[in-house]
Amino acid sequence: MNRFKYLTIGVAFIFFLTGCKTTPEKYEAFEALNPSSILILPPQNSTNSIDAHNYLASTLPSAVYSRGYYVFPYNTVKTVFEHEGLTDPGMIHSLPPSKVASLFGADAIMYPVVKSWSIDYAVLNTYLNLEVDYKILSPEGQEIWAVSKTFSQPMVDQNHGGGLIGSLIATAVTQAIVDDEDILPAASRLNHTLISTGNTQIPLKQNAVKE
Amino acid sequence: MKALKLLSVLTLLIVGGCSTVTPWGNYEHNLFKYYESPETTTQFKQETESHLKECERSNIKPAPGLYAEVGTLCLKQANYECAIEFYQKEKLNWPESEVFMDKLIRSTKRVSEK
Repeated sequence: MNRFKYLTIGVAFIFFLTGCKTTPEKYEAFEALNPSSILILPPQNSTNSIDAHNYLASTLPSAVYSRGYYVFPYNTVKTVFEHEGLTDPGMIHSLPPSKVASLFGADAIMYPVVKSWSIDYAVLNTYLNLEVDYKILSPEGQEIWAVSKTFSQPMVDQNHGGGLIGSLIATAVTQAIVDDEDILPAASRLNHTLISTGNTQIPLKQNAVKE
Repeated sequence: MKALKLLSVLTLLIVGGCSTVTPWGNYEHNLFKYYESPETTTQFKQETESHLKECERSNIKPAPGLYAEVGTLCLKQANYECAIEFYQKEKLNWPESEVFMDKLIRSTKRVSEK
């Protein structure tokens, strides 16, 4: 009897899991281009936060690489632009994509924009609220992937928390000290969620070289 | 006794888990810190360099761009030889970076000859 009960719960759980799975969108133009490398441009920051763009810039490379693409050295790219007198991301984003692609030898270019940014102290956790707009263009300027999303990301990863008590303790900690040590991992999880899960995920590199 | 065995296995797993080298190392944190306080240039460079050495020792392919980032930090400190060496390593590890690395190597050579 007991065994039957567990089996029922198990089957129900599997149904629940498969029910949650979202089908990724088909990005046909992306798959047709089949890029090997993606150049991440310095993010445009249209918020009041002085470092919102830096949180995203630091955590985007690993998210994009996790889909199998070569990502260009972010700080080196930024330094080269600065050397050319291009310190404003807005100016960089308005350069012709073909020119940018050939300068770096990139197969595709990512244009990140952070549109809003705030930190919200709720009862059981502290939330990072964000609105971002990411798109990837081909060297010809065709949009091959895009995501525009408003997000609320818990500062403390609840998957690793210890239930309610764990969350309570975690809240005490995050509310006491919310500095970049807390925000950076949250920004990283957010970028990974946007880029490698759900229906907005960047298609996995076809014939990706195994690491 | 059983509990003791379990505990020692768990400890081993945790200790073993801690020493795992990941392709990115502490890059996210170091890059962010570097933008927040540019005086951390040396720390960023040293930590990335030692992470790359760690990867080489453990036979793990480091994340893309890390060699080049060290190269650029060397360039910033006017250490041209070091810059070229790391740009070449990036190119060797990631053929996708060839166009960019060749440009960087050429311009570094030009600057160093001045």
